Amino acid sequence: MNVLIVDDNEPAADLLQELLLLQDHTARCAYTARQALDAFAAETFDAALVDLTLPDLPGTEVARRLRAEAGDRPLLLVAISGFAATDASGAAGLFDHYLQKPIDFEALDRILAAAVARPAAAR
Amino acid sequence: MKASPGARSWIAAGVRHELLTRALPALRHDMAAPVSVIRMALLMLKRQVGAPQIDAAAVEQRVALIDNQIGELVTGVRSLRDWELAVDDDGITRSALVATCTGLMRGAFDLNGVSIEIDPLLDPASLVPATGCAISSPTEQSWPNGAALRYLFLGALAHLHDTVDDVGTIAVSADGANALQFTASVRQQDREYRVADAHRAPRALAIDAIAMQSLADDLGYAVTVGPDTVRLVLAPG
Repeated sequence: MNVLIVDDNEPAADLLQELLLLQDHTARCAYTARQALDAFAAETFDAALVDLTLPDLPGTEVARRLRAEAGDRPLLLVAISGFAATDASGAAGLFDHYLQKPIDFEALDRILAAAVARPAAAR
Repeated sequence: MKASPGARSWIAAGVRHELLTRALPALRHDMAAPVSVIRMALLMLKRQVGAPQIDAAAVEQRVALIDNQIGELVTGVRSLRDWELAVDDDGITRSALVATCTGLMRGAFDLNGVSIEIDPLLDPASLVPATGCAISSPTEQSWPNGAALRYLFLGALAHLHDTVDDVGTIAVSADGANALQFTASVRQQDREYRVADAHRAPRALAIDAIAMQSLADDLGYAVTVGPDTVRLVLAPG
């Protein structure tokens, strides 16, 4: 999968990118909402991992714009946040999954693997 | 039954507890970030040292990153003391109070579509005299009882958050030399990204005017609570 990582914590985003590359995904980092929107306009992504708290725009708004930009194209949206308990995906209907920081990598692997295994039309 | 002074103190303690409960996700968020980086860096480090040929420079870089993140984590753990009503408090400047509390709560408010706007006059970097030399924040007056002021600041934000219908923005501005003014305004129609509710879960315990006043009285500060404003005087008494 080609994954867009949107997180203003640069070391965290960079390391997550390395880990995803090791899992045979491709990945790009965006450290701001602006960078994320620009990257998404320039390249096709299958998934986006979006930190909910970004400096220039709430992550929920970024997700909404990515979803709109993707249109009918399948896009797996995963919220990542240090905030607890509240299931942002359930509340919003914006995200397919919600992962709390510190990220459970096995859970992320499962989410990405399931998306890869799913037929493109069903994603 | 009439509330005794003891009961009023219990009300204030309950308000402080509620405010701390609301701050906890943000405090945890600040500490989860370095833990997340440390975990990922260790995973990569394990791979690097397990490789047939070890890239010493890359390993050193990883170790430096982990060291840096442990420093962040230690800072986060130490910051928990900021919420203890200690007797020997270092005090806090007005701009530092604003920066600390808004920095802590901005993410949680953003998640709910409530933005916090800060008067540029409260930014330490804006305190620049005609000579162009920046005045460092230590030149600002420091107010005693930093922990109490943090609770009152959070109380003011929470009060406006909880009681103003459709609040979209809370503006924090300087009021003279020794006070802060908090003003709520309603949500703009086009702001539709009210989504997650880490901060504004359904609350049986809204910080209403009585709660806010009880908190201020118990801590020994003057607040003026209006329908969509709170004025907080930073000097005790």
